[in-house]
Amino acid sequence: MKRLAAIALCLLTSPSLAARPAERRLAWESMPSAVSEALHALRQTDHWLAAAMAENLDGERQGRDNATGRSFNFDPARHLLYSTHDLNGDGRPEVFLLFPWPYVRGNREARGVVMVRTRHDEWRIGCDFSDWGDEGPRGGIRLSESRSHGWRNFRTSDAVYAWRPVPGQAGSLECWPARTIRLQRHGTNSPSPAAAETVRSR
Amino acid sequence: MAALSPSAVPSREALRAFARDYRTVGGSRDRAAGADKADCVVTVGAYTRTRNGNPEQVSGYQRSNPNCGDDSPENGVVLARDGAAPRSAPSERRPAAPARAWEGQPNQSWREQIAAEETRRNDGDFGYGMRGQPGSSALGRYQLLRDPLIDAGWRDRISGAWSARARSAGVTSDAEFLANPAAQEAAMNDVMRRNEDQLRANGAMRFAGQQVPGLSGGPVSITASGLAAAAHREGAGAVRRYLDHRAANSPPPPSVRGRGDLSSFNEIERRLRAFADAPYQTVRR
Repeated sequence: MKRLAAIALCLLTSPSLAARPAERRLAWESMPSAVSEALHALRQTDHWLAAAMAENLDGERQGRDNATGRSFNFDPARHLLYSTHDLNGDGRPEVFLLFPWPYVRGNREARGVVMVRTRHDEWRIGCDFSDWGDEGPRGGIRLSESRSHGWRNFRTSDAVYAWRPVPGQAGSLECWPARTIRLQRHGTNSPSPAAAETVRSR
Repeated sequence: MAALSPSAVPSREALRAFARDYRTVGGSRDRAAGADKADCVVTVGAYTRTRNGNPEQVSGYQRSNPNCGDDSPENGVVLARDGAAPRSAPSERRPAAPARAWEGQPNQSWREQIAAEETRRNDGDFGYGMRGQPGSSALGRYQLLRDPLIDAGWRDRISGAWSARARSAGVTSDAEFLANPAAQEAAMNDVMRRNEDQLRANGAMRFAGQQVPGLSGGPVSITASGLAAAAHREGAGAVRRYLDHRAANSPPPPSVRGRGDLSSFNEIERRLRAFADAPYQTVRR
């Protein structure tokens, strides 16, 4: 009995079990829910990006490095950038998804989609766009002060996008490149980023 | 305006090696002109040379004169080309940079054609020192972006820092990459391997030897060379999409402003046609 009591006392006073006032809890983190929902919704569509994400280029052991480098399959940790902003003031953020994935990008601007929500809280694709991503000062979504149909216009490195009604779908809007920014791949034709607010990519 | 790219002043030995390497065949003596110290650019006419015992035609080009600045390498001045003002040489000596580092690499003429598309620089530093447009991370003769370099193991995804693979090639910064043609050729090899393997994995390579109806009319011959060139610019996934689209003879995608599918498909088709006859051998390990 004495022995048991001694063991119990040892355990209670053990440094590993005693409360430490200086302990700090590290919270687990995950992708913002709006982003993961938007990505999930995109993957359910017939969009070509969704088809590319569904491809298995790795063979039996998916995600494993191959002879020439990293796995070929889509990996959101490496091949996805995102930005969120409430473009229409309804309190729910819209999501910009950009895919700087060499498999679908090659050596030029990355392709992306704007994911918007319907009144019934379902996600749909607002439009496709291109952008240089996080590769330099030109990349990133720049929010304009102007609006169309109550939605904030924006600019990427390839075009200024505005909003317009979707034909045949009452109440639905889509973004479209209202003005193309002519880029010279090897030149210095840089549009001024003045008077625009940049939404930083992740 | 041509970009000024500082480069190391070659030694006398390098100059002699240049003269030795560019021996002509059959007594042809039309290659070099203006190799005077005072000229910073040497115009080299078309000529025939021997490489690995075989005669090889070399088209005319301009290159920097190794003797240019011979009287001032010690004072840290690199002479400017194209009338630009001289600027100070970097304090550290850059790695020895073979002027035509693509020579002897796999698919030499294919690389020349890619470089002609990407940097359009057939003289001076041949595009090795070229950066892409502001806002893009494209670097060097083949305008490689950061993401393909990450994918090929040359850069880190999060920090963008140059990897151990790059360091082993003497590259720890963008500036060092731009000043190191041999490293750019090695990186290009790795990116080409990635593209080839992806074209194989997604089935696009199986189209080689076939024809598909072109968007702009007429058949498009599919070759490994054209596929590799199209994937370099648009990605292997986009190439496969184009092939499926054309094999089904689907109507052209809608034309939209910006970078829609039509723009991408047109570029793929243009490269498939432009590179169809370029000699190409696989660069698989």
